[in-house]
Amino acid sequence: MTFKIDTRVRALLVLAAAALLGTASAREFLRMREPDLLFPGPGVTGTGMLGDYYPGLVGTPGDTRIFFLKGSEPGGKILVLGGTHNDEISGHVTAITLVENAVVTRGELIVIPRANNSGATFVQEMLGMPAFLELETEAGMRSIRTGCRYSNPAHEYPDPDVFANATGAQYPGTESRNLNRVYPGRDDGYLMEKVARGIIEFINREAIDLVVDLHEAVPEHYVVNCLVGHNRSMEIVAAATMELLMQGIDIKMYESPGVYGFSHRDIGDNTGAYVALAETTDILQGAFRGRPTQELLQDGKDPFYDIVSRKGKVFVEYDSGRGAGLTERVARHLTTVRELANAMAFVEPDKTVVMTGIPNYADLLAEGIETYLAPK
Amino acid sequence: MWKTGDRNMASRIALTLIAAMIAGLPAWAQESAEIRKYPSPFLLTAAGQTPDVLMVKIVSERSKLDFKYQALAKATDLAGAKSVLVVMGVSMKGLGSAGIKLDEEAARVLRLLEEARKLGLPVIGVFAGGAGGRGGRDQLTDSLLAQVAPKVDYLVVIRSGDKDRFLGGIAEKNKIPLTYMETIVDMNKVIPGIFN
Repeated sequence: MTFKIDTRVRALLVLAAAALLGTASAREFLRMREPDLLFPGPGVTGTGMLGDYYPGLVGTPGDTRIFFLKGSEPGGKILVLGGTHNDEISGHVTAITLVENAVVTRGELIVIPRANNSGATFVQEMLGMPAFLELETEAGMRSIRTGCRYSNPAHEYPDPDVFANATGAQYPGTESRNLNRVYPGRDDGYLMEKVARGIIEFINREAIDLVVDLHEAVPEHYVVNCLVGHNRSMEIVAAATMELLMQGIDIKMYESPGVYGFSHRDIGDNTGAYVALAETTDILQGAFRGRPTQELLQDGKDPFYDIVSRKGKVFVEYDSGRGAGLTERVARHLTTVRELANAMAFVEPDKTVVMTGIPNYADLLAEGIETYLAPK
Repeated sequence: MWKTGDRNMASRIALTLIAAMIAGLPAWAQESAEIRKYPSPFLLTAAGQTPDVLMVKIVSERSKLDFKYQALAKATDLAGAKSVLVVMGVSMKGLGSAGIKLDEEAARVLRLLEEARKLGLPVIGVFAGGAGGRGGRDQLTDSLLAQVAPKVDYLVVIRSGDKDRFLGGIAEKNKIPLTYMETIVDMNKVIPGIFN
């Protein structure tokens, strides 16, 4: 008798614990499906959705917000893509920093903060990544979803075994959910292929002059802290690289190789825009890092990478005392966007875009990114 | 008083020291912090189609230098030029975009330099070690450097791209003056310094 009562009580306790854990997990899980609150700044002159330009995305998880910052004087048009790979968080944070702070006086800046909007709704399974970036600002805590480099498999399942994109380039099946492998996209393709088609359509219809795709890379990969330009864009990329180096920002430049599906290749091949993809350093995605904590997400300080760095296995100068913090990564991206704009203006003066309200590199490092992302 | 044996020993030591100094002299003579001067207008071209040539172009434009840029320069492009600046480094993407193979590119550059020599035009070779830089697996740039570098009159090289003194060795062997840049940013000083 006693044994039976104990069993039932134990069963109820286990069920109750499971319900509590499940509820807590579900809340976190579902919280990721809520769009981030953005606070468009005084420079935003209009908003839209990618589906306005490509109806195939309307009502799908791939549709995403676009912010227009138009100056009063005519000039060039720049499109900044954040969140192509959502876990490369400085790309998205740079994009929302522009939306919330930049004011354009000449030309137009257009920002898509979440190019892969589906990927913002989950984190890569089994990696224990923080689901949210938690910034302590003067106006209180601000949570920004991190997300995944891939689109959410709950939005499209299953993956093919082998994925061949519109150019015929073949990748493992999961890459069908990687926006930066599927350009130029297909009308009858996977969800990310439709997003790619939408972005190409948008660029052509808006006659965008320069596209900047913001990313992060692990230190053990050589395409890190760099600009990769479409071959038509290399003069601008070279000029921007030189300016960044003169400002003490260590950066390399590469010409887009003959690999297809990437923004720096296929946006350039399928539009008239200059295209540059910018990479900063991301310790959190690295193979050698320790626990993936909120602190590591924000300060990029990991003593394991000191060891790897001493062994000469990384392509950046790294020490955990300084780390590779989010503020520095965003500062690099903001400065890169500005210098690419300046370079385009130097090469084609009628495509000048003048942006104000964006902190310069030194000021941002001194003040911290939280200063520019306080909820309003 | 010196004995005969002592005098012979001293002579041998002195001769050895003098020989060592002479052997070392080429190294001192070739590497020079002083920037050599050459006349403009100059023809700017690439050897290997490295995008680093665009950095030199940008620096030249911003310094308001008198030059003509032609990525795939031929002998006819030498008309009006008083010197030639060749930015060396192989970019397979650059070659692909230009529709040219590496051996064709090497032949083009060598023909150009030969014609420059016939016209008495000095040639400056620049290696910026960027996208067309050298690496353990990259033998293509070394192969091109080995063909082109010996034919120039002055070498400007980024020091980090020549840790093994590959280009330093070419400079010594061919008695070509060489200036090392510590960083790419030094290009802003060196390129205008050559032509101003």
